[in-house]
Amino acid sequence: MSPVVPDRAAIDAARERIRDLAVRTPLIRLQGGARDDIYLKLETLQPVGSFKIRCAANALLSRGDACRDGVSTASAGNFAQGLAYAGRARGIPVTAYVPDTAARSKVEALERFGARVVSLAYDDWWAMLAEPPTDPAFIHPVIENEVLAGNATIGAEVLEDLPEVATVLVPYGGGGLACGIAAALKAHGSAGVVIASETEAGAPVRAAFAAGEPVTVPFVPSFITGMGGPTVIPAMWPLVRSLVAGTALVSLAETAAAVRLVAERHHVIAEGAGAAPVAAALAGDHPGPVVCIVSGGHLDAAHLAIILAGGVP
Amino acid sequence: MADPAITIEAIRAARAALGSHIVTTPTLDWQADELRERLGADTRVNLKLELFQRTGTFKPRGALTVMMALDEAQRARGVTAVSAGNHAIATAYAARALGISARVVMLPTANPARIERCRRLGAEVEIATGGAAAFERAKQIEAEEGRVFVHPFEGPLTALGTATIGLEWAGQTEPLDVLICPIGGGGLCGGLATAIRLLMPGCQVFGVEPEGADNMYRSFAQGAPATNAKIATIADSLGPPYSLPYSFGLCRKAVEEVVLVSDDALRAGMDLLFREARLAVEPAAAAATAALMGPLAERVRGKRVGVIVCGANIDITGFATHVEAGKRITGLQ
Repeated sequence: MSPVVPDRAAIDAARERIRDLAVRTPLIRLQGGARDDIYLKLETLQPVGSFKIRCAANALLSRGDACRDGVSTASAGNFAQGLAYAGRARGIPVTAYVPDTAARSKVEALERFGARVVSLAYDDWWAMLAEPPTDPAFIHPVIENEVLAGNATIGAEVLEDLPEVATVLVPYGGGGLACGIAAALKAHGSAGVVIASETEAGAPVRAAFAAGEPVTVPFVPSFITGMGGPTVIPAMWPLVRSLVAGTALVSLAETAAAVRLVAERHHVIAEGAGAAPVAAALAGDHPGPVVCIVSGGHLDAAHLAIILAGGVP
Repeated sequence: MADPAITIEAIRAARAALGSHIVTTPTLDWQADELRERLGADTRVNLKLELFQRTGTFKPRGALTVMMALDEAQRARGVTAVSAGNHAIATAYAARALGISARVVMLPTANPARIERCRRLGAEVEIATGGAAAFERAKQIEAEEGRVFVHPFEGPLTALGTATIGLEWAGQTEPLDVLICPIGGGGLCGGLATAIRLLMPGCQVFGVEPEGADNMYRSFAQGAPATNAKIATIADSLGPPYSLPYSFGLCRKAVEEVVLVSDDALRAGMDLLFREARLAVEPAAAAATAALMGPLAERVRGKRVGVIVCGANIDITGFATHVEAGKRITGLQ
């Protein structure tokens, strides 16, 4: 079942709920580009280094007393980190189900935030995501009303800082970030549109728009994590179709160059998914002002070194 | 022209005059496990992210304030400056913003990318053979072309420019108990500390210097501006070889104490900002963070602490080397 598109009241409630856990991130103007109306929303500055703290915290706190004894999720990445961080802050135990393929470093990061980590065979883990348990204490990282509302808080902040925004470029991962921000623009009556940012490593949204339905596309693992994937999650497609205005495709080399640019000019370390929208803004002719959602900063240090030296990992 | 006093009214007027030539840089309530472990759960750290300023450093605040005060004739003749990088870029930026010609003298050690940035901002760039020769050449340009010399840190207008950081900050955060600011020549610290003492009288300001560039520390000890022939620190933009009277006077009046940090502590500060704020900074910009986690850690416990990340243009390949060396940072992937 598709999640519900959050309205103004749901977004306002989310902002209030997460105020102590997530920070209100700054919007800064990009320097050194060909145009001067490109802005960066720096989710890299969030605790845990990604926007996921917003949606995880909102999903956790909106459950109220029902889940005081603990919650669980199926994620090895930033969402689980955000949930573990929020759970620890509120004294709520968090269990993270991770695929047995998860990197040791990710498991360790979760354990540092006090999460209980349970490793599952990849197929069992994927089944948990595809057909979530009905247990109310299970929080799905994408298909979940309060996850969307948590992500929508980013859109609300952008509108406060730049009411005239025309285009918001959002990295497309599971779809929760793009749809959440688009919902906020709509709820506030903004004329701005959301464009799904994708790379040549995998562009499922472009393919879905072309086919009129989610289709499977080639997906090449690369230094860019947290976006792309073999297909648009079917439950998200109705939202994507109605909320997302289009897609913007960039190459891996353009994405690496964008990582380099924001590091050099703004001292900000963006992960590939966070830099792809910047690459798209520089490569495209999107109506301005353009806001790029720099979603997170979890870039492997070896990859960062290669990129800063001018290469593409 | 008489020296303008740094008053709240003067700072407000300076900020208004700077207008949109500079940005009101954001602040961030910094939450990280390592801070909690080192400083305790009840210590709150607010970062002033001045590294998001135009040109990547706080320098345009001072350069613009100086240049806006020039009369028509001076503006027509233009300006000159000496710098290894950050101040040259700021001067070039300010000159372009105000429609003034700039001829800057850069040091042979200047990073080619920074030289290129100055040129792209429209400045004429000369490369001197060394530090002394650079100042000689700037003097010559001043004399022959009638250009005004824009000093990298010394003087009341420069300080008025950096004081605008304090004005912004006071409006962005609840009152601070402690503020930590790096000292190079003292232009940033003198202006910022003076503003903070006016706007938040209860706030103590600490200055930070690298152990290998401790001019202000020694100036405080001897009660007069000190010189230091030997500069040995990785924080190259915190290392002018002397303190000067005006900046010293401001710091002496508004700064509680100057503390010193080692190069290793600076590296640890860079590392912490990288891991826990995803920021890539030069050693100089990590100095306040290094002092927070080092010599001031016990003294800021339980307090509300302001830490300025002052920004410096990073040498991107140097940073890459640092990152490659620090493999342990991959732990947070």
